[in-house]
Amino acid sequence: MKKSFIKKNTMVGLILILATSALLSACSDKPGSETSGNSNNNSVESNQKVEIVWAMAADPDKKAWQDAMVSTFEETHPNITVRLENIPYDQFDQKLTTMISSGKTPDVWNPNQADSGFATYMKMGALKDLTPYIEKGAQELDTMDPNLLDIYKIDGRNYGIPLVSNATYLYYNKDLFDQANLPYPTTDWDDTSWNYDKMLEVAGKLTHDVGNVRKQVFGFSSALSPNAMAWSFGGDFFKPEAYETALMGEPDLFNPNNIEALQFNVDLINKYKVAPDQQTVDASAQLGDPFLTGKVAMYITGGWGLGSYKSAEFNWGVAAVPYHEGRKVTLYVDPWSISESSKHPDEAWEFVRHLADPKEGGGAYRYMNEVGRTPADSSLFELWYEQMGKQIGMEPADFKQVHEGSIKYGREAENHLIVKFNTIFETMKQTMSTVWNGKKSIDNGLKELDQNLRSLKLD
Amino acid sequence: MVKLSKEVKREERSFWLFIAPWFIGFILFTGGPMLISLLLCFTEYNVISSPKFVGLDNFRVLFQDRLFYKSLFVTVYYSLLAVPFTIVTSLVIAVMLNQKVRGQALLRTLYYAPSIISGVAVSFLWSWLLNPQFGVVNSLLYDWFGIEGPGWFTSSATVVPSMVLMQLTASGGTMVIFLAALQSLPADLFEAASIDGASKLRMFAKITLPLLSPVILFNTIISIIGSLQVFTQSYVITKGGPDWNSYFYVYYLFDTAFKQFRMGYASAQAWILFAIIFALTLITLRGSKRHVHYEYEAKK
Repeated sequence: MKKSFIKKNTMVGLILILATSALLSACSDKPGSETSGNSNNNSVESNQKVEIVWAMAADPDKKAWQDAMVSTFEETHPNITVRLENIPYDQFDQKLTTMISSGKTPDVWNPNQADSGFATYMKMGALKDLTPYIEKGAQELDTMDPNLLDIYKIDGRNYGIPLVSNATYLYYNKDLFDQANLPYPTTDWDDTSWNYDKMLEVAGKLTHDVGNVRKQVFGFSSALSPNAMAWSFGGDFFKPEAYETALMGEPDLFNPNNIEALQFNVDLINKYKVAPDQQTVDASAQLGDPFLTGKVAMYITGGWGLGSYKSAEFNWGVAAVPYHEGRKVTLYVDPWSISESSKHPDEAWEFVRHLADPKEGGGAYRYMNEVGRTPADSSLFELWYEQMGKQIGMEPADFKQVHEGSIKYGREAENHLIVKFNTIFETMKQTMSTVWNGKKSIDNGLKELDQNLRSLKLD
Repeated sequence: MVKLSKEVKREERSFWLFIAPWFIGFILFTGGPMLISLLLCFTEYNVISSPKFVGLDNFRVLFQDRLFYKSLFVTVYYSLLAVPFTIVTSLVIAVMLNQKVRGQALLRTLYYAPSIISGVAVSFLWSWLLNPQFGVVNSLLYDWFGIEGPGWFTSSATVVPSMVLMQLTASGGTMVIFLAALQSLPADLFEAASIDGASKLRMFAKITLPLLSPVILFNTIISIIGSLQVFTQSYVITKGGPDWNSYFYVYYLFDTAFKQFRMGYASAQAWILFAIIFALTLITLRGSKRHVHYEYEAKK
């Protein structure tokens, strides 16, 4: 009898211990984090060797460039060593918060590499005011477009130095256009005949075998968020203040342009059947990118496609996003920032200058040249047009026209400007999925989204 | 008090010595953080600035949070399907692997093997297998039977059942515990029953199951705890979608902690989950009293 009592109790104990592991997911950080002010003693002059940490989202395409950056910098700055920390993209936020809370903040990093983005870290007070450094003079920034610098200027202070400026384009699969004997879409963003009606007509001609998973080809799809769709039709889910104050505030969902944009995109899927439904997009997203499957003829997404579609097994080009009154597309300008709690801000700034240097051999030059990303510095554009044109088989002048059009009609990405936009984005994505599959009307979907967005606690 | 003999004392000393590494580890890496998270429940803490005391605000907000209820509902739904599924399939597999057949050792290894692979890798594997467009499963369904398979992880209705199906490669541990228990069953009972002319099925129902009942209870409780903490699948495959239908409780907790940097709120979520699991465990233990037979009790 006694034995059985022991046996049962041992089990209760064991179970309790296992139950406690539920709490392991809770945070285990020390409260009271270190937010010590910077020690502005100019240690460059002292002979002590200083180590700064450079955190990047891991990307095999960038590895060679990263190593080159570290070694060329260390050559010219013998007193500074740079330790590179590559962090997987989807763990960036998690890792970074842990680093910050344990006082091991990286010195130089790009806050937009994380899902949460510049605005979130800015609002948290994680970023250093770089204005005094810029005012002291940095020739590396002489050819930088002031408009780009202004994106990361908050209340007159600069918190980031642009490194890339990805635009948005309409990518098209040349092979599918050739098979259907159709002319390629225009590179001229001001050609008003290239509008959504025309796009729909072309997409209809390119679409075939929809429903047959093994043969289907869709005329059109996009990676646009519902808000970016609204932008491209002259609408907006949020009020203009949201982008300035960095706080979402009251959403503004029921604007007629928003409804027009969503209706058009729903109709592409359910009425005209020229675009893949959510399920199909999710299924191909599990394997990579829908455009790369070769089963989508036209696809709107950001400038990183120029790099990632290099591996495509078909020919492709870039063109203008269809015209609509008030059309806006997304620009993704990423900055280098320095942590507020960096122990060596001066050395970190030297490194940022090195990374931003557009001259041959400098960081920005080699980033464009070796990694192939859209440069931020104006002096690099002509060279980049040449290279890109050659790479994707377009006239450099045509490519230039597409890119400049995108900049002209572009505005900075929401997730860089509004705090915790990743949460807003997820909420939009999840809630709208029932609208895309036709289970909910646009009106009901927007009502639910309105409710969901308002219940978010973002500050 | 009984005076302890020298031997018992020595035994006690070595007990503490042997358990020390685990015990110290528990205090440092589990107990400490737990205590801190209990304190953080009552604060607002974004990792960078110091925690601010807010009283019961986190709990007040939590109980009005639609996503809290949604994620709890999805998790309970998953558990209701996953726990019986895990117990039944692993018991059936264990019984089969307990048969004396050729290649027994190999089969046992094969069935246990997936349990030692990381959940992330297994999740990727399943997402490829069940991909509605390119997956093996739907391709075979189409080629062999001419039917279009379901959307699996991409459809609101099938996402949770698909994740339950994934338990097939995750229940090796449960199965091994069953297998060990099956092997320790007294052969004399079965012998006597077979002399009395009992059928295999009857023996299973009247002898095997009652004797296994403490082990079934143990596995059930472990499985309840595990399934209420389900996370990896939705993090890797669905990101909580579509339409929040795989937005599990711990996934939401992860979001609030590491995406929204609301550590206080996340701690409150963690403690509520702890309370739920604790309560469910107690209920299961109490409720099972009449159905669980302990060998020693029967012998008294």
